[in-house]
Amino acid sequence: MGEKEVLNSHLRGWRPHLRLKPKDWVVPLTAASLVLGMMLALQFGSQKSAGELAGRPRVELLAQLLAAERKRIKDLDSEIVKLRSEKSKYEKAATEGKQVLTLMNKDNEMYKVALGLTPVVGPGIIVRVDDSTLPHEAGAAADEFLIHDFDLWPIVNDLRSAGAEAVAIGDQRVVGTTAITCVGRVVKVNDAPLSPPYEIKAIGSIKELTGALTIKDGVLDRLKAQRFPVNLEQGENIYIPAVSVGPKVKFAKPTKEAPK
Amino acid sequence: MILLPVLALLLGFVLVYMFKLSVPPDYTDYVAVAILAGLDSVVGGVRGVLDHRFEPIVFVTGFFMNTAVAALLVYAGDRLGVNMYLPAIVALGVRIFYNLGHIRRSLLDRIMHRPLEHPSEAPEGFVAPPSP
Repeated sequence: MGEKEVLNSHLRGWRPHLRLKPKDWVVPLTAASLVLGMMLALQFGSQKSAGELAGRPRVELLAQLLAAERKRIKDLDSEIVKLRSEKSKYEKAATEGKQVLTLMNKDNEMYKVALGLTPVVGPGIIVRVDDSTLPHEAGAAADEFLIHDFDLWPIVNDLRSAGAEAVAIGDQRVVGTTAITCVGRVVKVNDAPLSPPYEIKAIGSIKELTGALTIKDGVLDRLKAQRFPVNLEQGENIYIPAVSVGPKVKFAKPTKEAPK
Repeated sequence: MILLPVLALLLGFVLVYMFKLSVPPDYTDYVAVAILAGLDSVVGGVRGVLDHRFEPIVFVTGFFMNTAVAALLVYAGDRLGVNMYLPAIVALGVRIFYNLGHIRRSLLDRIMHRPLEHPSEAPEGFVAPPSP
């Protein structure tokens, strides 16, 4: 034993204080760390992109909505041109035979209400449903917390079966050709994207409309069970707008009897 | 010298992160296990350095074999319907923490039980045993 080792022999667990030559371990450890860092970044990137996918509407979806909106504006423009020419036609006819016109007008008004071509006012109810306000648990599908098209269908259906004369979701009149669909996370009515809370208005007998929705285990009960905020309001002067784009008939032709 | 592996870790991370590379979501589990196996190898390597029994060839082969085998094993488990993800994480996690503890004690040992350079540094009342 050398003098130095004797000097240190009182140290418990002491090992010879050799210095390993750094060149032995620096290169392999550095190389391994480099690979480890790359793998970490790889995983980090994938986890993040998975989160982004779930958390935000994708660009494609927004592009789709934009295209749909542009088409709607174009349709509305052509609708205006059409209506103007019709108006002048009627004005010309008015100077010719006033009596016939009054009769026609009366009929016309009734059809316009039924087809949703004119705004209407009357007694009815307003239902508001919103996406769930529950805290979003990790791992739960975001879908379960959103109001979908299939949540709105039964409301509209029940209102109609209770004799609603006019129905609208948001500012979109629900008519015979109306489709209520989901594109990604957006509910579209008459091709117009709506955002929550969804407001469904109906004109009809307040008592019957309210009863149809609030019946036990009815549509509102089912939504409440899923913790969606639901609110029902009654009013004597519910305003329901006209359908924004009138019906287009391209394929169907009127006929008197079924073809043999 | 000690900083070099740490810098390499950061460099590798930044390199891949800049190019925004990512693996398909289906394979993130395998990469996670591979990362854990790699981390286990590196921690084991550091322990080897401190214990003066670091063998470069053993370390390098171990690092690449372990990462590949860990990922493959979990993949094989998925194909066979046996969940190997959790056992792999537990086994690797236990090893990593064990080795980290060893590294910490080894380093503390070095700081607290620093070898003395001169007899004047000897603790009070210390009598050097007679040399044989």
